[in-house]
Amino acid sequence: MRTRLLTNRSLSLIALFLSVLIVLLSTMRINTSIHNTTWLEVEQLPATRLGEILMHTTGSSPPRGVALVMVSYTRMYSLREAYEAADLVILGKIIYTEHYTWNIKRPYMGKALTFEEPYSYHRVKVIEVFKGNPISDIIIVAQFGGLDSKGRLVIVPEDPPMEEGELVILFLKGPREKGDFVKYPGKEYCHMSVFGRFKVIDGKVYSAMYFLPEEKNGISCRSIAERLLKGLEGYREVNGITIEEFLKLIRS
Amino acid sequence: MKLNLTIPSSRLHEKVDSEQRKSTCHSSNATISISYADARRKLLLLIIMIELVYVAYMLVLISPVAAWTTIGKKWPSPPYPNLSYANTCDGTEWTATETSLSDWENIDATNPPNFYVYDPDNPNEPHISIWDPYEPDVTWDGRAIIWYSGDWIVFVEIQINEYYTSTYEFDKVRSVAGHEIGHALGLGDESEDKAVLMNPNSARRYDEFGIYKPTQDEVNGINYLYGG
Repeated sequence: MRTRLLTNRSLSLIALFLSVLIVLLSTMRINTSIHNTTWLEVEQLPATRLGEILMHTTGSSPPRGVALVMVSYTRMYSLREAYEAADLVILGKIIYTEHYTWNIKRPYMGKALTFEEPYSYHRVKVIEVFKGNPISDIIIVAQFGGLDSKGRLVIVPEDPPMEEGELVILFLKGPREKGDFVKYPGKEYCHMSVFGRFKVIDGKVYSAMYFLPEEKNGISCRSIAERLLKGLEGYREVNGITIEEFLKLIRS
Repeated sequence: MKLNLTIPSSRLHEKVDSEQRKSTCHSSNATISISYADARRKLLLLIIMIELVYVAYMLVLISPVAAWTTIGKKWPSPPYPNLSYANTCDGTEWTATETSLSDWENIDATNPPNFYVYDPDNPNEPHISIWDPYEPDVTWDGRAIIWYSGDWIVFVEIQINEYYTSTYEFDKVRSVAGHEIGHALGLGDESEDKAVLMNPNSARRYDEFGIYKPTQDEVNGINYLYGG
């Protein structure tokens, strides 16, 4: 008589298990669809703010209010790689922010198109230097985004504009001599975006996946920063650690 | 437990094998003894096979490979997505961007995008403007600035950072341009470990995975956004 590896009872259990698995997978499929369409929860600005912005828009063009910026990175950096790539690493305080809009004309089919690019030029008071030599006690850090000359808002979700009064640790490149958005040649630095921006609160250091607000001007910042940083070594640990512990982490 | 069936002997050969026939045939009619347990077993095996096929299908559907995202905004319909563009780039950046626009037009989607050259005499602005600033020391090689109102994209500016792309080979510039055009159409970023165009890390997207034009994942995303 032929022996059977599986009894009917076992087969029934397998069929039942597969049925349960199908139900679970169906649920996951639904959740995945939802996740796919909403992970970047971009919402409309509050009516008052949007109204204020739309007042600045012209009649013939479609209304423009707020813009989000999606970035393609040349590469991504682990915490230590970012530290090694930086020219200057400081603990500093944002003491003043200058909003400036570049109006750049480009030739196009015998005419010209104008591109408006809002930049924020932060004055940062250097409190402590961890790497490199700053050119002065107060340095200029350029950051893309902010308000343009028409009051419209441009936000890089994972790197929204820094604000006056913030205490930050910045991984910086520069000073930059040339470039289309260099306002202060030889004097301004730029930070390494989400890989080189940390906030210090009550003496504790946080990476962007922790200190960014869940939502800023209708754009979910923290979840996007988390999505970018979570697979990279080092950033997950920067969640309320002391400056000494942070330095140990980046120099280890 | 036994199940007894009586069927005409003329159809017997269709129902049972010869071994069973030998043991159960009578002169005019045949009584076949089929084990109920065997029938149940066959039924269970059939159910399991169907379920396995379905599970495999579901696993393909929820596979991380098929995990496009959107920015939660898209172009209004109509026109969808029938967009004017002004490409003011120079040299390789211009050619790569034009090639990439063509890549997107030729995807196998239900409603693939169509791009047409913006007429500078048009009083309205183009849907998409493209240029190639030179910005050293930053971490980006391309970015899309997406202006929206409510649920709709109203204007997109694409920047290709010439500081980096002037050192890239042609298909890598095409990869950056294609990624930004994907954003311009409403697609979001993917994880950096995925071999798809919407991977936000150029070093992995192109240098490691060799992706420079839309994959099936992006096509699925476009079908979701614009019909399919």
